[in-house]
Amino acid sequence: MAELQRSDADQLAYDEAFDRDGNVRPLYAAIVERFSNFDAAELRRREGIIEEEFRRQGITFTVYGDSQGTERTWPMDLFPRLIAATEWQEIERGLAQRVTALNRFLADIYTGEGAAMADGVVPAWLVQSSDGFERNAFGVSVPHDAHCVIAGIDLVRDAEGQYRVLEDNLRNPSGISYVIENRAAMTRAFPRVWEDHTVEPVSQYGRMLRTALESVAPTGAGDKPLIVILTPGIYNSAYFEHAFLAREMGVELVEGPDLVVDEHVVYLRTIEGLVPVDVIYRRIDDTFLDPVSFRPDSTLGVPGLLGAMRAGTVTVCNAVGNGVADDKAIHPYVTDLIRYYLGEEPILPNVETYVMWEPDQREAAFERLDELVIKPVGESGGYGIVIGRNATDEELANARAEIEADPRNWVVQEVVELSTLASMCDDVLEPRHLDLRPFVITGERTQVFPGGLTRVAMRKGSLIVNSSQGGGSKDTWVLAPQGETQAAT
Amino acid sequence: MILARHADSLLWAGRYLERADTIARCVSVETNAVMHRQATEARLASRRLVQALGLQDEFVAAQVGTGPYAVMDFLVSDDSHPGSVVSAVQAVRENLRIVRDRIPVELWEEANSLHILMQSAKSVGAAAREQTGGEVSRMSVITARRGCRSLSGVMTESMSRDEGYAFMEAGRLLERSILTVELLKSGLGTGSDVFDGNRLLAFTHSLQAARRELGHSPQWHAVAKFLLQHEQMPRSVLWCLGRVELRLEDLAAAAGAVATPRRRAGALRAHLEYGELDALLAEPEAELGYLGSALAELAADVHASTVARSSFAEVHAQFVRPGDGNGRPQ
Repeated sequence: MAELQRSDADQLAYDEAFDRDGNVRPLYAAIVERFSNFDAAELRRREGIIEEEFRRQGITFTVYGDSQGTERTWPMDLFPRLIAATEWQEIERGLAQRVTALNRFLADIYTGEGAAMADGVVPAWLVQSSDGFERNAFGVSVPHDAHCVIAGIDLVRDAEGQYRVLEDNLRNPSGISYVIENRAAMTRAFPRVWEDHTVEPVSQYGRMLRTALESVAPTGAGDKPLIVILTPGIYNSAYFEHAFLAREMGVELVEGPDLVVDEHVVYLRTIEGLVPVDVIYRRIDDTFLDPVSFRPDSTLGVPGLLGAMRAGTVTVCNAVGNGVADDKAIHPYVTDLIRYYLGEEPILPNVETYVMWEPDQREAAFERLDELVIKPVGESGGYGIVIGRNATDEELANARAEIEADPRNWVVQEVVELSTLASMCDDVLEPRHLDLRPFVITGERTQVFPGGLTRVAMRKGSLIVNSSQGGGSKDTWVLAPQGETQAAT
Repeated sequence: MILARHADSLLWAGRYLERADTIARCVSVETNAVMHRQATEARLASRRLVQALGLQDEFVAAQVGTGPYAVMDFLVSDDSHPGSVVSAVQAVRENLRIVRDRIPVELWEEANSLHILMQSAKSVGAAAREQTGGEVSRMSVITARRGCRSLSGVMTESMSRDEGYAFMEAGRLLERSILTVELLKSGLGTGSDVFDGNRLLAFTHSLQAARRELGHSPQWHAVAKFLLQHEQMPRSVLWCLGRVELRLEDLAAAAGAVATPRRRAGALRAHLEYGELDALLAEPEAELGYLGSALAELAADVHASTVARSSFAEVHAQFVRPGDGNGRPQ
């Protein structure tokens, strides 16, 4: 029998499967029971099946700067993450609320009157100084104001088990393909675990996304709009996902040079000649999208694309300029934006964040910098972060000086003890920290895809869940209401 | 509808698939022969095969060793040149990866698995291969042939007969025709390295079928007629051209650019179907030379028909914009 380790009694973080006394939580009772019947060798064998299958199917991601040359198979941990139905309903409502408000915010900035800025909810200078703020996007309207058709919201669970929003990803969130492939792999490797649970399916994503993309087609596109996915190409780290989504939706996967703009209409170069395109789900960044309006050296984009968007002949998803709303410096204001646009209390709280351009907050933060996390606004992927309790006095003094020199570029957050869950490490299942990235789709309405991508830090104590830095993933089960009772009994 | 770039990838995936299959088959035939021959003789014959496969320059550049299996290694596991089985399989996989969203999942998975297997065989050092008497290369050849068979099986059984299929099949059959003509050339002459009729049939996967019609010791002339003109044999150039013509007809309705290769394929097919082949083969070098260059031009034309028009002048020349005048076709 494989040893399933309880979390340490003195662990600060919330453990998903065991309570503080080391008892299995009812939600996990059946799956813990199943896993305790497997010995380590058996779990290794099943892990091998998954790994081999991913390799054969080419389910890979690319690590840039890796001399090994690029393609690595997707890492998946065997022990699944479970979310109870009632818990999920709360998350679902919270995410829909949040993304609705963020879309309202983007529409307010780019095609509205800037009401939130005028009313002082968010400082106008903060919006205008954001790297993601894009003047070229002014006046480019999107059907249903769906500026963000696909959002990935990173959630973490604090020491009390409360879900909090760590980050919004409103530009090109990736990972959905792995959610679906993880489920398929789990089904192959553990055909019997499903007997104890009723789990929400994840295979409907292609249909869901396609419906949303069709709904944002320009008026005049007809009832069968031509949709394409625009990829930077096979060397991009997420190419597998791009191809996966094209296949699941049944649409063309195109590269920049496959498209051409003539008189504000985007066409696809086919062997039959040029065919007009209605909706582009692009997986390249804003600045590479159109060398005429953005970076002139971009070979990935389509010259004249922005003009076509402006003319309203094509919809590009996600819209240009979304980066302003997922700026780390804007994040602390999102809960106020929810209150402002929707008149509702936010369902999901933020991770507590202090903005450094407010003198009071800055001074308060400086007094206990050694207990907090210091984050540069412009970076992602965990770079440039200083964790107060691990930092030397010198590092803290440096951080302080940098913040004083450029307060716009820094935020300071409370430490969140990411929740843990049993994960396969060597020959034992040990608690490891994890987060959750659910995906939120907006077309005519906003819908949350059940579950999402659970990322797990495979090194003991590490909070870095990024797959390029050795992080793994887990199949994530949202239990159907009846499944929950079944699991609990 | 198919993207020009995707059409191109499928055309090349087809060509490389045929190439991998053919080289693997030739190597497998040759490896059997090598075991029963004197070293020098075997080496000469292998060199002749390298020549027939059009890899003379690559062979010189690779500075292949003198061991009996060195040439086999060069043809199977050497990825420093594009003509080996391992390189051809990699090219199939890369081209299918580009169109991975539009082909059957199984087709991609077969290509990917084969690539992974071939790569792991490649990583065994040349010295180790030599030590095992070519065992590793022989195993890779078996793997490659099996892999190619399952790829073509999936292609035939689960690919929709759309434009993508038309290009992939045209690619395969053109490559097959080109290689058949080149291999036939290596049966001409009088040296000890000239391949006999049976060997040529084995290289082209036609030995069994031909034996029933031509007996056990067919002469070059009979073999050439069989491989060029046979109407039922999917290995003959005539049969291949007939299919290429059909595939180009499928495409012609929508894509005007295939009109040229379609005409050329028809003319070449007619040449083989109605030409006086006996008389033409009285001067075999001249006839094979003609067929070789005509096939190469045809392949180039098919390729050209997939290339996207790149300049705006060309773009404007190729479509008439109907509609309400604001640029958007209705």
